[in-house]
Amino acid sequence: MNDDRLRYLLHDTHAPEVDASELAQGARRVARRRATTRRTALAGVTGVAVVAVGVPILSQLGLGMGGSDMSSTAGGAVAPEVKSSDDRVTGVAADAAVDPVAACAAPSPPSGVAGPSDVVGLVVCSTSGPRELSSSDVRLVLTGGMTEAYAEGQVSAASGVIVLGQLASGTVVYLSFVDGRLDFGSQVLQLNPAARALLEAAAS
Amino acid sequence: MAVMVLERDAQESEGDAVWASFDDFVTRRGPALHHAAWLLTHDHHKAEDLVQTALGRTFSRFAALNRPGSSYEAYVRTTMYTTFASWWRRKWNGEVPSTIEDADLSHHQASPEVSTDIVRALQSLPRSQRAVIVLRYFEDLTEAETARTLGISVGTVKSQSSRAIAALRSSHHLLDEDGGSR
Repeated sequence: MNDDRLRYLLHDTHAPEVDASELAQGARRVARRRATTRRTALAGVTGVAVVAVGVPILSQLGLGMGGSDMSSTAGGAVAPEVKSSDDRVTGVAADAAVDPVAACAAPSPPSGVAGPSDVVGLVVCSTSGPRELSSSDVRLVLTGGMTEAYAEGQVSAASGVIVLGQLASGTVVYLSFVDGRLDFGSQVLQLNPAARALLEAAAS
Repeated sequence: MAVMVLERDAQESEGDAVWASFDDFVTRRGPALHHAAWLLTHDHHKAEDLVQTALGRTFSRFAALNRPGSSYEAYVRTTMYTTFASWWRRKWNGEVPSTIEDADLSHHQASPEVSTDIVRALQSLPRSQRAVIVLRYFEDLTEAETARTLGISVGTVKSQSSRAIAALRSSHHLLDEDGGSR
């Protein structure tokens, strides 16, 4: 069998009929489903990261710790079993009025930030530069059964920021997650050393 | 015979065309994509799923790539073949020989038996070799284009193609009663 013969035989096969309009409709369904999944995953990653990664960062930034009871975070939305699945998850002390991005950049803890509160402060995770969240980011933050916790809406009220990276110009690109609302932004900031160290560690 | 095939390809090849709409693209190129998907999967429904998935994954890029100098169809085709590879890597998606569907073969210039036999013979190939054969000899891509589409080297395309053709030559589906290759 030479090449031309093989080419001829393949072209001469007869595939079953296909309805092009059904194909187009099906493609749109797939596209819609992918968009929904993407939004859900992004929100999930953000919410999970806020709780799972944010607390130790706050601690390192000297913003104070509210103890190990998750009920002190985010309106008490996280179930006890979640807390037990990851010992890094603890309550957070932060003032609700503090902008987490500003707190991230502050050279020292903002004044008035001490003691238990009902807001998770800030999160630094992921990547050496600003870009879309990727599967590696997901692997980074999905620890200790937090995925299930988010899926059940237990951490949906958490608030915080994921710093995706910092441009050479100093602009920090971040995702903020406040009361279940996801936002994306950038701001010219100088990360403080602790936040920068964590960002670099997460990216390595 | 080869001339006839090449003439038909020239008419059908619209890879760089600018389409009036997404539906226009699917209407005109969907059947050809489905045909290639059917050669890969040998299953009408899986072929439909494969094309739909590829179209769905690329839908958001239609506006950006539907312009002169870009080829949305090439993007869809690449997505379809990479999706095919990823689906069949999944453990749960165990590929099993399926019955070749009874297609309408009455209008074929080659005998129905030969047309069906090439499908059976193709099915017996490993999926990577099958993908190379479909891209090279059905989609009529060059070795370099095939390599780019599958994300492999040109050398791998050559070796896979060579092995596949050798396997097809010796396939009992394509052997004459006297033992020669049809």
